[in-house]
Amino acid sequence: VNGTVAVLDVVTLLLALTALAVLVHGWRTTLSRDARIFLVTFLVVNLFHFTSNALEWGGVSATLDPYEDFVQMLEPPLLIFTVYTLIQERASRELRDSKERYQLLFNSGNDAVFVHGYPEGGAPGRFVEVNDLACRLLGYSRPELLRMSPRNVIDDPGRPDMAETTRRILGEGSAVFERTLLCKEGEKIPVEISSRLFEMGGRRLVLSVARDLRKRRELEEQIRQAQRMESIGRLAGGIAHDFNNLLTVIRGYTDLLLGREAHDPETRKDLREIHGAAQRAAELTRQLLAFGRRQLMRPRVLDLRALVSQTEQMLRRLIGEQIRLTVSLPEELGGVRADPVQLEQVLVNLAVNARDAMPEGGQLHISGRNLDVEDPPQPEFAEIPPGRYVLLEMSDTGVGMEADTLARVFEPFFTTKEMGKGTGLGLATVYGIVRQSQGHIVAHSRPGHGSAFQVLLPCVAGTGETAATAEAKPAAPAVLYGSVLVAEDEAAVRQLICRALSKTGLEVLEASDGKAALELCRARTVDLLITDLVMPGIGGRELAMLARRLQPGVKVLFISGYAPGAGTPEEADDGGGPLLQKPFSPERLLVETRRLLRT
Amino acid sequence: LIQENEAIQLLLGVGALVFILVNRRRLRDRPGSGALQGAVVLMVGGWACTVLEGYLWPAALNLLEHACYLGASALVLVWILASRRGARDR
Repeated sequence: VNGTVAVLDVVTLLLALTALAVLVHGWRTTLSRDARIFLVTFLVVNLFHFTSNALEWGGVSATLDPYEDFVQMLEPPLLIFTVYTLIQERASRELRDSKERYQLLFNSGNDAVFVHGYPEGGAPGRFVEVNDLACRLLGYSRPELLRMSPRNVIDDPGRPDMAETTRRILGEGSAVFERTLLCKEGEKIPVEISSRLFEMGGRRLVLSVARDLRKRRELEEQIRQAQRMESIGRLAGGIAHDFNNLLTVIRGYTDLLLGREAHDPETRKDLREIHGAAQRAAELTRQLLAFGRRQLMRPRVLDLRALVSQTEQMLRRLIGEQIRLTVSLPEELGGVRADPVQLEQVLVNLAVNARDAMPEGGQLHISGRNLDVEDPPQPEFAEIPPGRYVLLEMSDTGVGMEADTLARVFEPFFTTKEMGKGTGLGLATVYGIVRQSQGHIVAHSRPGHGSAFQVLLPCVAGTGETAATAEAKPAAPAVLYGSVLVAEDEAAVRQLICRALSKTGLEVLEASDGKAALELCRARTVDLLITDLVMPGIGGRELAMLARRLQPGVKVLFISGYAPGAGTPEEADDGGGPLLQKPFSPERLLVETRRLLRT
Repeated sequence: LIQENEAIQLLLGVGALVFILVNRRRLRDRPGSGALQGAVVLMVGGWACTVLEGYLWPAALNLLEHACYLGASALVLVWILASRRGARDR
């Protein structure tokens, strides 16, 4: 047995020696320095124990034997110390991890966080903790901020409502309020602060989370601007509609007067002046309607390259020889659905705007490309819904605009031109047309670096057409036969229409609203119904539908200052007839009447 | 028959074993913690044999005592090597 025990002790000695060698070799282990020290001590004690045994069993020496009993007693405490160190190590690691997690959370938000003391009965104390964003926002280093208090970073700390805020924080435990922070460089930043009172380690502290309001204010301003444009658009559209009724009467009666032979040359000249002024006024209301997105559209799928190419010569004449016009539109440019006449108007208005920005000459460049606005959109198209678009850009090398001017550039009647040189409706019209075509317009400009207007229209499939399909010129009216019912709530317009129609031999019936028109339909045979789209009570579309029930063969011609809500002739056609936009001339009315009665 | 130092050592050893068993959850995520706990059990077993061999089966218990020490040393080595491997993996 002794021999076996001796062998066991020698093997144990060798194992302990190996363990010690591994431990002191300096290899990296998961053990901390303290744990390694205790473990090494334990192994040394073990080695002493088994060396003593081995020497004794081998009959070499019993010198170590008297100390062995004492040394052996050290083994259990050393074991306990080793394990205790391991447990402590775990606790400190957990603490470290927790601190790292806290730091990560503290520094990862989008808000600046400040913690400051608030001693009983005293003023706000110094900051005891601030996050990275707080330092970046205010431009101070962490040590600098930790030497400061809220009074050093809040602009106007003596403002009257400060005491009320403090009372709420201390009394109710929390408060949300808005303040302006003062940066190191002097910049003032509006912030929304959410403060909460808490106690930690016997100290009364306030945790304040400050949210930068600059971006929000910017967005609010954009919304306000959009709402303003919308209201101005509504107002402009409404005014234009009422004006169109008046202009229909003015133009109509002037046309009727001009048609008479009995005038002397001077009266005829005066009448032409009135007619010209009415036409100019009609053009103005057309622009107002375009801005208000109340213009009647005739959209179709268009090839923008062909459209630009057709318009190019006209644009060259318009901008003059001092300005070089270049066009680069790729062949693969997608189709868009828009009214070609309106898009021509967009090109013309943008070109005129560019021309006026380059009094000394320069370059006007028209380019285009297909564009996918991603989700989320690219930064330059941040306000545009994702989708596939065709981008048409018109850039100039003109004087450019200040940011303030750029922000108001699409407002109607906003102009930087001299009095009498511009109506301020050019770009407003462009804006209205583009928006009515479900598109978007983005303007970029810097003083001295020119301007660029990017028109984005939704890309559609299909072969594009151009504006070549121009409307037929009105032909001279002849004598007509049949009965026409005129339903129009505006008495002056109604009388003008009746008068113009009566001259052609037609039997004309008139009604001031839809109800009266229906009564006439029940009582009399009507070949053609001419009705205003918008009337109190029964509207034009409904009247047409009911009239057809009574007299299935009746033809319908709609007239309108605008088509509220959805202004396409196709939609009016849903009601079963074409639409004539006010103001119109008696001649134009007769052309349409004759065409309908013939069919 | 019983030596005082051996009895004290056993008492301290049992204390160490209890301490480790109580805290074994905290040691669970350490690499080779099973080897460490096994080593402590064997060590305490060895110390128990030392005390018991004074009363019964002296030769057998003496042999068992030294076998326990050998086993404990082997497990300590395994634990240290596992700690190294753990550090390498990390």
